[in-house]
Amino acid sequence: MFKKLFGSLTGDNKQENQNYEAQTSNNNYEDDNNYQETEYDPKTLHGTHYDVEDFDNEVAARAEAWIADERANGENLDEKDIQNIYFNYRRAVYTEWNNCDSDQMIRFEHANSLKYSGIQTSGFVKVDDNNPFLEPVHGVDLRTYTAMCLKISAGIDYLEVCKAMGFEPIIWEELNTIWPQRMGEDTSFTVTTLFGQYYAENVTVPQLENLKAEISEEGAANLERIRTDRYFYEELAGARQAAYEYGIDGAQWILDNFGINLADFQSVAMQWMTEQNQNWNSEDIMEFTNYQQEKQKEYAAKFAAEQGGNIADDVNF
Amino acid sequence: MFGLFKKEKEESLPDWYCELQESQERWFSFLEKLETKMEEFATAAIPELKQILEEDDDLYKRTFQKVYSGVNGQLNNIREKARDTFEEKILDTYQNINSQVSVLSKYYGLISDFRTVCSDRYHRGFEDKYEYWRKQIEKTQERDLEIEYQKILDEFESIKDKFSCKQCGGNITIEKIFLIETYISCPYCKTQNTFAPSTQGRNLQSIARGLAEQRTAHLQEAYEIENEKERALYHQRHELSLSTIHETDKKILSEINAKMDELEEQRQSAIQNAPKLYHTYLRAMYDEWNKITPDLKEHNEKMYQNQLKYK
Amino acid sequence: MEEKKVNSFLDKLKANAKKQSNYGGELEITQAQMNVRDCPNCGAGRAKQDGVTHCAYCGFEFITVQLTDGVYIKKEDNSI
Repeated sequence: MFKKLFGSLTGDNKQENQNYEAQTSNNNYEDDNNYQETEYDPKTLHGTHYDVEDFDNEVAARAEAWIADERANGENLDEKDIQNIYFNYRRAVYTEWNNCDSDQMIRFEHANSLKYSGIQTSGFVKVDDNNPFLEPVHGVDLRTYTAMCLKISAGIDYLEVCKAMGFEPIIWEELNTIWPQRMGEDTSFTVTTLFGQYYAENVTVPQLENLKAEISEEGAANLERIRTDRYFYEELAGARQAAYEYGIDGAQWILDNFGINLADFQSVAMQWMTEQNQNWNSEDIMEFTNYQQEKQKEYAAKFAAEQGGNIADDVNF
Repeated sequence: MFGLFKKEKEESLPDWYCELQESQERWFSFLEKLETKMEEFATAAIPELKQILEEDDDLYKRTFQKVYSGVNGQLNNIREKARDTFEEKILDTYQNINSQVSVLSKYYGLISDFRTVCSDRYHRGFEDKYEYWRKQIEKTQERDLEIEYQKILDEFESIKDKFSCKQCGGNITIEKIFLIETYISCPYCKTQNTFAPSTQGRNLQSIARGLAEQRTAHLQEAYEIENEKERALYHQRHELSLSTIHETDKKILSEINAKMDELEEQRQSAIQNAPKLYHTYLRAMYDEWNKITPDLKEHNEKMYQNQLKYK
Repeated sequence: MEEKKVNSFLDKLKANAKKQSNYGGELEITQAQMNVRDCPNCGAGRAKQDGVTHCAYCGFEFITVQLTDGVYIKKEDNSI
């Protein structure tokens, strides 16, 4: 189905969806002397050595054959089963045709989540110009609405925000009803994911630029640190979890102890999640998950000590 | 299997068997103590939680939420202690001894028995108790939403005729429970007044779905029962089919097969019925919801369609 | 002894939960209110038929955005 990998030999590293001649052999990789790394299209993450159409056709061919087999054996397949079958064959074909590891396969899945599963993934949002879910509400688009939400979550009075935007609180209440409704109605999660993306980018609009939430010097320094130091972010995320487990309002605790407000914290959380999706690496993910859990245990011990210990402390093996 | 070894057991049990027995006893006793703690704690916490919910004036019941989280936090702490100990003490011991003893040893079976017995005591005994107490604690969240709804209706009745236009003083009757701020024009001078609902009135949105579900809970239960019926019938039929394995009597076999066919027919019928019951429940729930907050009907209908498609 | 520990833990949990302020502060419970906003420029009121975005007399901009059909607001509420 695809030619030998050429890479830079042909001098066309950036070609997308070239129509290469079909070859059925998979022996290309045994040719160690001429082995080239697979090149991926930056948008679709498909290998550039094959046609996306061929890929989709191969997946469909295998999936339909399996489906026909199952049906011939009397199995009843519903919509979900069929989607699942396609999903699994897509993974198989991608991995075979690109000889890649599962991290690359997952990055590919994220980049194409809208096309193949109908659901958006943060960091890879595809936006259509005419999406009715993204029509401005009372002249306020999603980006502007997010900017308002950020200010309000940071602690700025919503009346101040309305004044700066040049409209009455009634308008804000309608925005704050309708945009969440759109998020619920959109089964592709475009509105929700885009909102998350804007939140991560800490978007602002000219009208709101002069409204700044109060932040202490220490808070500003800590905020900068969680933005750049992933370990420090994970430590605070773990601490926050531990706080809830001990009956403490985690968001307030973070504000009291580190000077960071909830909007800023969540914005940074979204940033890290988006980056993780874009550069999916299961080893890193495991490392950070373990680190967060470790920190959660540490802070939990501190909170427990403040409560006189856990109730089961005196039970031992 | 143990019957065969009985004689040898009495004569020469390996040393490691004592270690296993001791570990098992300690494990059982440890889990029992943890279970006692869970029971003690949950029993004390549940009435407290109920009282806190009553007394919590906050619209979002945040004091209750915090205590609720803290209570579950302790239950989780106990659960994790059990899990960590299972790995460090039981599985570790099992693996140690397992690697020392040959598979060919006549006592090898004792080792895997040890693991099975300890695992069952944990995964079934302990975990079941944990789930039970979790559920009991969850129940403390229940509020009778009819009472809260009635408060909102009563407040509305008492205020709807009490407003006058800020421009001309003419009487303005509020025609319905508004969920957010809105313009209302005076019927006399046509001036646009701004009406801001009370905090309680605004809260109607947050209890609406819960109330609708409360009112249609019996329909949802009917669906759940039908669903469970399918599984129960499946297992009944499976048991019967196992019983045919050694059966040679033709008459009995034919009776069993007839019974199996009957069960399968019932099971297929349950498979057909369950979705219908679900649709009945869903439509009824949304209908109730629309009665409580008719202003949200357009949005709710879209959500209903989505839920139908993606169930 | 055991019971004491459980009770004291619960007491501390309750006390802390009541003491700690919640993020976003205390929620004010408000009553329903009716208000009117006169034009800060010329003092005129807003009549329904003139829309709510601009003052019908002096053109002052109450609302700078274009209204669309919303929950209760309709696009007809835009002043011409």
